[in-house]
Formats: sequence, structure tokens, C-alpha cells
Amino acid sequence: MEKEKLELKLEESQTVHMRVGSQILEHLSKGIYSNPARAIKELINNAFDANATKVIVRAKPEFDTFEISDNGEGMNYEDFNENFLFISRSNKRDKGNFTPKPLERPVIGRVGIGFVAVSQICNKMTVISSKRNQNFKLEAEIDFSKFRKIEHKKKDFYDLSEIKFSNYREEKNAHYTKVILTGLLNDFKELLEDKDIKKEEGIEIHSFDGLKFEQIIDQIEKKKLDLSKNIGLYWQTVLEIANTVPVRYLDKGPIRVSPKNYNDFEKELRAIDGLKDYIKKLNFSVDFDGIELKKPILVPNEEDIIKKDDDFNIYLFNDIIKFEDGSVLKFKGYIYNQKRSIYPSQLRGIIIRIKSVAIGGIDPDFLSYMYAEKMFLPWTFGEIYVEEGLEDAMNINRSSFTITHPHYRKLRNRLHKFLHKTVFRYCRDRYIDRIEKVKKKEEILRDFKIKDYLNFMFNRNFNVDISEKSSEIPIDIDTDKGSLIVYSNHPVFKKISKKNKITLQNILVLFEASFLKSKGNLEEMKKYFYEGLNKMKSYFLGDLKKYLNEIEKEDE
Amino acid sequence: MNEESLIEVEDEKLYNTVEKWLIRKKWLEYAIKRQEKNKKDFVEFFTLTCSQIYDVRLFDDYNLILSKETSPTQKQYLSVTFCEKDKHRHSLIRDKLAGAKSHLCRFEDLVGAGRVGVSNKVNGWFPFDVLNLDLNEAPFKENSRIMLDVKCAIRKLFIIQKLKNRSFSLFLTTCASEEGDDEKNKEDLHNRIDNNLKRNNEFKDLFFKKYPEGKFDNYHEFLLTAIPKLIIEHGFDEGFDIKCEEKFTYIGGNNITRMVSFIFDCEYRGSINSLVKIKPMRVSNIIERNFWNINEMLNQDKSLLKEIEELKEKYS
Repeated sequence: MEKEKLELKLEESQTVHMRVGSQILEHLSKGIYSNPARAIKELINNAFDANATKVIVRAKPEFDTFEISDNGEGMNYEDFNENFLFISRSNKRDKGNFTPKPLERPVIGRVGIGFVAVSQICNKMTVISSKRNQNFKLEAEIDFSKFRKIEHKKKDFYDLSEIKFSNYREEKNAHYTKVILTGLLNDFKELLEDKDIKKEEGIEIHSFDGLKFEQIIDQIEKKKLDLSKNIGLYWQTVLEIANTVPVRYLDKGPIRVSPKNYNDFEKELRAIDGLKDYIKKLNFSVDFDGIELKKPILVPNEEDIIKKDDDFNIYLFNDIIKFEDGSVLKFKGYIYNQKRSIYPSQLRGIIIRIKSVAIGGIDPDFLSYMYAEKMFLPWTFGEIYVEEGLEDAMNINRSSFTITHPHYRKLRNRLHKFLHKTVFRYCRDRYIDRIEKVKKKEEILRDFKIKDYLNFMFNRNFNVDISEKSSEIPIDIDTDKGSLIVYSNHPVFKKISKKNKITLQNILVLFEASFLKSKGNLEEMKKYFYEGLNKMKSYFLGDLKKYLNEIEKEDE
Repeated sequence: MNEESLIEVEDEKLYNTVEKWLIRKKWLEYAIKRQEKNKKDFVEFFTLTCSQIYDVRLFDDYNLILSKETSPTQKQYLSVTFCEKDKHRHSLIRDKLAGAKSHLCRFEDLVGAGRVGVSNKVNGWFPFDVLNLDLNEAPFKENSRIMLDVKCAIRKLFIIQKLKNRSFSLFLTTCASEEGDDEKNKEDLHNRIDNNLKRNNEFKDLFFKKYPEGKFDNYHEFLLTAIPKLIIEHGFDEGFDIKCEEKFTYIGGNNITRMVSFIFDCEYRGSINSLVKIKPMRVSNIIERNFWNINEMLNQDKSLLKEIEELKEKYS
């Protein structure tokens, strides 16, 4: 199959076909690119790779057209020939791992994937682009509607769309790319307009219109918003993109430490500042409908600080692993762990960033955490920046990994071991401590209640002593001291169960009956109580009542 | 974006001239009046703006439009609407006008007078308090269909504004190109003036006083009378009392194109009957009111030139 070629013909249109590899098409048909944030993210990543310092995204307020503009190096017809007329899994930037000077960024992506991804959300895409030092711009109109009618037969490639391509005069210094999506699919438009959510009653949907990014994060934190329920797809998209593309962190993020505790985490915070500086030096900003995006990461939340005062730990997670095939996996990052669940809940999990771009979103399951201590996962957040390796483990949708890839497996195992042996070790100790404290508290409470009950029932005629000695019966009478003894270590007090509860109830009833029958004489009362206990051993609840009736009859 | 595109460079030449800034200063004055008349905290502003959005920035500085600062370098403009048929230009404007409503079409299409249909949602953007129809082309081109569109668009604009009983100010700027405009269309405009010469004695007297030979000195003076006449007729038909407040002419930024510009005050009165007596007076006012030749004004008044240059400098 001979590849079509575009030429430089000014103000004369040419028609060619965009072809796509069957492997990509297979992913498309499975709807892997259906998340709009991921499709838009790919276009933003393209801008990053093109050395853009600013990307402008426009969708609101009408969602009729979706536009992504950047001030990157731009493209010409030759770039289009090379990268966009045939899109396959192997389309990789082969000009080295870094963009040209002065920015020298690590190159993120596979070229063209973003264009394929957006075919899931619109019918038409127009690309207007001009390359620096060339006095023409290209305008390509790409129609995806035809692609939707493709029959899936076994082929190496398919025609994704027809491209109407023209070159026009342009200023020599101009360099930019504009991607304009029109004919947005209704499903996508309705999702952005929150039409589906509005139909459901009882769900309060928050909008952040007119707010600065920092104010949005404040609101999410203060109102403890669940981003998957309380905000519509538009704002979910904005926040997901903010989290995944290489934009700066919030000034006060990602970890907020009060100045008095800074020294405790000095080393860790310096390392995190290093990550922040690295991202800052990439000099990349995204203006999304007038809002400058920043990484929406800020832990702990203000309420936790006020209540618990920096009750958390930070762990650095860095490593270089060499593989037998000569490949290297190099990463650095941090794990933040607090001693209760993190709010907002979207910040529970781990983010893997390859060349500063997040792969997928925040994974709350920590790459399928394998130890039986998942209760600690909601207390934990982390970011891992992969500097070398793992790229080949990425699936074609660039949002997930091939779990059998050796780099992925190694990273996963390292992470799990690190969490289990280092991070959660303290959690476990704390957890056991906490359980013990709770138990003690419960015991004190229960002892107090029994004491209170007995005093109430018997008109405070007895002293009540609490004993930690072991005893066969939970309550006894000390005739010498003239007091009642509560054995707090008796199983009925130690373990709250239905059976124990009934037993305790019965004993108290028996105790009361003995008291009444003895008319307050302790020796008599002890006699009746022991008789009752002996009988009780062979009686169930119904029989106990029978026994009590017998006592009553005897009294009569 | 950092390095300017050809569109931005050309817009800069055309729209960042002292002549344009003088007109913008006048727009500002009348937009403030409209805000007061319509008793609004901010005006709903429709504009056919350029890629540097000078008019929006100027109005925003005077708090005429609703905007919110979302970062030190970015704002959302929440009471601004624009349309633009060219995708690249539309995108350049939209980049700078976050939050504004926009559509990829001509103004004629937006009001439902064009060849491209727009959705009910877009129709719902009307009415506006201030409209700036800053056209940089001959309005009555050879293509009769376009002529029909422009005339029809003006009529449709009044119909839509009438539906919501909204009075408004209209800033209209266009090229005065005798060669660019179609003969049939020019004849139609002439006929409208002739009708007035026959029926409106006051208009006739004023006209012959100004033009003793019974014809206009040049094409732009013809348009400075014919266009307001067209606007007034369409407006009155829908119950609007139209005053042509200001008329300007100037040579455009490329030093070739002659431009004409108008400021109309369109007050909705409701009943056409109440306007019957006013209409001849308003038409006579068109001929009575002198137009401003901006190039001459600026040449003669150096202090004005300095003032406008300072204004221009502020937004450049």
C-alpha cells in the first residue's frame, strides 16, 4: 500500500486519507478512549511535546466547539505526512528523548494518538498550525463521521477519515497549533452540560464558575465534595486534566505542613520541593476556560490540621532497578500517610507519572495492593515520577499498564513491599494501639455502667468493687466486706456478643431476684444467687423464667 | 499566543489606529448612557470584535461588562457574546475571551437571516443592550444574496430585540466602497432617499440646502445618509424610535479604505402609531446632523490627537 503524501501548495486544497492501525482501532471499538478528559489530555500532551509554554482550552459556556490552542513549534505538511497520515502503535517521537532547547523537556508521547482519541467525542476536527520560520500555515479538516461506519474485518489498517488539507500564507515568526473540534457528539455534549445529573433528584451539583483554581480546591476541601457525585463531568474533566498534565502544583501543595513541624519533615519536604521545581521549570501552563490549572493536590485538609495537628508521615520512595535485558527503571516520589481517611476522598491513592504526565488518574487500589491491610489505603496518597523505563508497559490508551510487563511488576512489588514494611508498619502499630485504647475505653464504660446499674437497682445499699481477677461468674457477693464484686475480665464483659449479652442480662435478673427474696441480707442473697446460678447452667432463657416463677410461687 | 499570526498583524493595522480609538471612545460614552437608560449593573454586549478585543477591554475597564478575574493574567467575560465565521480568527478571539458566548458564523446567520441555521439555544442569547457591528467589508456586495442577508439581518435584529422589549445601542461600522457594492443595491438605497425627497418636505429642504445640485458629493456621504435611513425604517417597523446619534467617516488603517461609522440609539416604544409623527423628524435629522471626518478632526486638534494616542498606547 503506497502512502499518500501532502505537498506545499498555497491556497489549494488537497484531499488525503488518515489511516489508522488495526490495533488502535480495536482499542477504539472497545471505547477505551471514551473518557473525554483523556482525549483532551492527549492533545495537551502533544502541545507539551511541541515545546508549548501555554495551552488554551475553550469549551464553555456553549460546548458547541471545543478548542485547544498552543504556542508550540507547530507543524507543516511534512510533519503531517510523517505523523498523521498513518497512525499506529509504533508512532513514536524518534527525535530523542527531549524536546529541543531551551526547554529540553522529556518527550511524552506517541504522535497522533490524541487525534485518534478525539474521534470518540466529535465528528469534525480542524487543525490550523504554523511552524516557526515558515511563512505558511496548514489547515486540515478531518471528518471522522465516516470512520464510525467502518466494518471490522481483518486488515492491517483502516481509513479513519478524509482530510481536506490546505496551506495559506502566514507570518514567518508565527508558531502555533489550533485544534478545533466541531460537531461534538450529543452524548458528550450532554455530559458536559450535566444534563444527565440534573435529571436525578436529591443530588446537589456544585459549579465553580467564576472561581480561581485555588478557590475551587478550597471549596472541594471545605464542603468535602465527592467529585464523582457532587460535580458534573465538565468540572471532573477540568480537575482530571489538571491532575494529569505537567502543570504546576498549588503554591501551598501538595503537602501542607505547619511551620512549627517543618523540621520533622525537612528532608522529605525538600525532596518534594525538588519535584515542584522540576515541574515549574518545565514552564507549561494550561488555561482552561479562563482558569489556570494547577495540580489539585493538597493534603492534609484544613480540618485535619486543626483537629490533629500534622498527625501524618511522609516517606520518600526512590529507586533505580536494572533488568537483565539491560533496561532500567528509575523513579522517585513520595508516600503521604495520615492516621485516618484522607478528604477529599479523590486524594486517596497513587499516581504514576511517566515523564511528568500521569498515567490514568489516582489509583485508590495502589496497583491492586496485595496485602490484607487495605484499610490503610484510604489513609494514603502518593506520587511516583518515573524518570526512566515503564513506558513500554503503558497500554495504547496511555491510561493503564500491561500488568505482565516486567517494569510494571517490579514497580508494583516494590511499592507494595514499601507500603507493607515501612509505611503501614507504623499504621499497624498505631492501629493496634488504637484498638487497645478503644477496648479499654469500652471496658471502663461497661464497668461504670454495671456499677451504676447495681447501685441504681439496689438503692446504693452495696459497695461495688471492680476486680480484674479471673472468675467463673461475672458478679459475686463478698459477705465479709459487704460489697458486690464485678469481674471485668469475665468473658461476658470482654466480648460483646448476643449470647454474652443475654447471659449478663439473666445474671442481673437473677441477682435482682435474689436481692428481693433475701430482703437485703447478704448471706441469704448469696445463697439464693448461687442456687440460681447452678440451675441456670442447665437452663436457657425460657427455663430461667420458669425458675424465677418457681421462686415467686415459693414466696407466696 | 506569543508570536503573532497574520490575522493578528493585519487586525493590528486595521483596528489599532487613532481613528478607531476615537470612535471607541465615543462607543464608550454611548454604552455608559445605555447602561444608565436600561438600569443595568452591566450591559449584555454583542460584538464583532477583532483578535485584540480592544472594545471589550475598554468596556471592561469601565465596568460596563460582567467579568471575573480567575488568575492574575486571565479573566472570564460573562456578559459578552461574539460570532465569527473564520475558524482561525474565532479561535484567536475566543482564546482571549474566556467565558464569552460565541458561535462560528456570520452575524447574519446568528440572527437567522443567513444561509446557515443556528440553534434555538443561540437565539436565546438575545436580547443585548449594546451591539457593535464592526464590519470590515462592503456591506452591499455584488452578490445579491449577501445584500439580502445584511438588510434582512438588520430587520431580524429589531424583531428579536422587540420580542424581549429591549432598547439598545447599535454601533455600526462598514466600508464605503462604491466598487464593492452592487449596482442594484445602490439603486435600492437611492430609491429610499428619493422617496423621502418626494414625501418629506423638511428632509427635501435640508437635503437641497446641503447638496444644492441634488446629489451627494461622494459615495461615503451617500452611505452616511442611506444607511441610517435603512436602519430607521426597519426599526420603526418594529416599534423602535431610532436616533442616529453620531456619524463618522475616516480612511482606514491601510490608508486606502474609506470607512463610515454610526451610533444609533434604539428605544423600544411598542406602538408604531405613536412613532408615526416622530419618524419624519428622525429622518430629517439624518441629513441635518453633520458627520465627523475623523482624519480631519485629529489633524486639526493636536490635543485631541494626543489624548487618543495615549488611549491607544494604553491598550496596545
